Amino acid sequence: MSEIDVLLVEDDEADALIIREAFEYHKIRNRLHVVTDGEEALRFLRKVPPYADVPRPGLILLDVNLPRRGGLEVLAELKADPDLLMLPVVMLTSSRAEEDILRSYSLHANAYVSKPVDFEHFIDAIRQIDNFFLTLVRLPN
Amino acid sequence: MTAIAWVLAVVAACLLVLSCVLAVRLRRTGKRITTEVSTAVTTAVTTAVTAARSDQSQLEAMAADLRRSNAELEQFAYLASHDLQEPLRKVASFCQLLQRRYAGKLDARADQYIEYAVDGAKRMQALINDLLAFSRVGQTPVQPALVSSDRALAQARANLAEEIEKSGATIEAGHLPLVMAELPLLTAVFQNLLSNALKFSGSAPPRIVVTAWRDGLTCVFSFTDYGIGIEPQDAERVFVLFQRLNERSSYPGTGVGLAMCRRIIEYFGGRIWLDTTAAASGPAASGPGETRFCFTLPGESEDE
Repeated sequence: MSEIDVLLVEDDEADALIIREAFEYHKIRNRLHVVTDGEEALRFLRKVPPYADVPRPGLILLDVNLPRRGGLEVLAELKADPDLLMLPVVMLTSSRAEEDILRSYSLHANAYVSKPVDFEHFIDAIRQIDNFFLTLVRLPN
Repeated sequence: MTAIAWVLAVVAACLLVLSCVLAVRLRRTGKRITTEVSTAVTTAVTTAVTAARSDQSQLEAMAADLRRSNAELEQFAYLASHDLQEPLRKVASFCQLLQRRYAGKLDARADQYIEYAVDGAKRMQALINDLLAFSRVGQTPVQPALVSSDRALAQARANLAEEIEKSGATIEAGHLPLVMAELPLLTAVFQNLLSNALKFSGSAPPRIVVTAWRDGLTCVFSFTDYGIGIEPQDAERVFVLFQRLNERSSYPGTGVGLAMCRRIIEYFGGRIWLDTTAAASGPAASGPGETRFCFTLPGESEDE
């Protein structure tokens, strides 16, 4: 199986590290790219410099609470862009607010996952997301 | 204070009537005196009534203050427990990462440090989770409706299925009535009581008996186990938040369960207590460690 590029949009360095560790722990073959705010995420996806040479990710993990442009704003913009709307987006966030869940799905998020409080559950969640989106489902090329 | 002021008002009113009677009698002899007396009495009545009114409004203001500070405190507990979870998740996660990656690679002392750090962080997570659940009771008020306490107990048993099976517990429950409550909260009450009965069972497989009966419009529940028991002098203490009666190493827990039960039952307008007569009801009827919790909840009205 070829390696897949995953774009993680996460402003919290510690959480980004935990996610990276979880991928490594499960020996998931992917290249994890991390950007720390919504603006950067859109530049990455549109290959705006300094991101001219980055690959197109097969999966986006998007936090809801981001500085500058929030996760929901980024999601809305992605899903309104004919070039990007096919990319699967998993909202991976510490927010459990019903409102965020509803808004995410009405903006066509592919899944909404609350970061589990327990570490074991957290890395298991990453494994399951990975298993579903990177192994089980067929995504558009 | 209010009561005293009202009594004063009534006394003053009586004096006024008396003064009128006097006034009639004194009309011929001394009109001036009558006027003075009645003026004085009127003033006394007015003063007493004003005092009573101001006491009443003071009391209302105090009650409003108390309600507000209570609401603020609840909001604070909710926010504190919610916002504390985030940094704590980091501490716990990285301690666990340290353990996963470096256990056995440093020295024995380091392994022990990490173990204590992981244990402490996990315990604090459990505390905060329980505190959050505790402070959430009544945060989103739902119109109370009739719910089946049979269903709540069944749900609680299902949630604890693993522990029940492992301990070999028997649970005897008759038909339980419909009560005015919310299903998730009533389930939490049953689950806390069940979980305690399983935990404090002693060496024999736990036996738990649940019964309920109606007392007018109220339903009374009793929840009995035959485990290690609770001393009568601890009957109130067990309901206090974070109070624990046993050492943590033998009986893990946060000390929130029964406080949570009391909060939920009182939220629905009921009462919960430890029935201290249970253990003393005679050696033939009960073992030394019989523990019986009772609680009441509003039931179905007769015409329903």
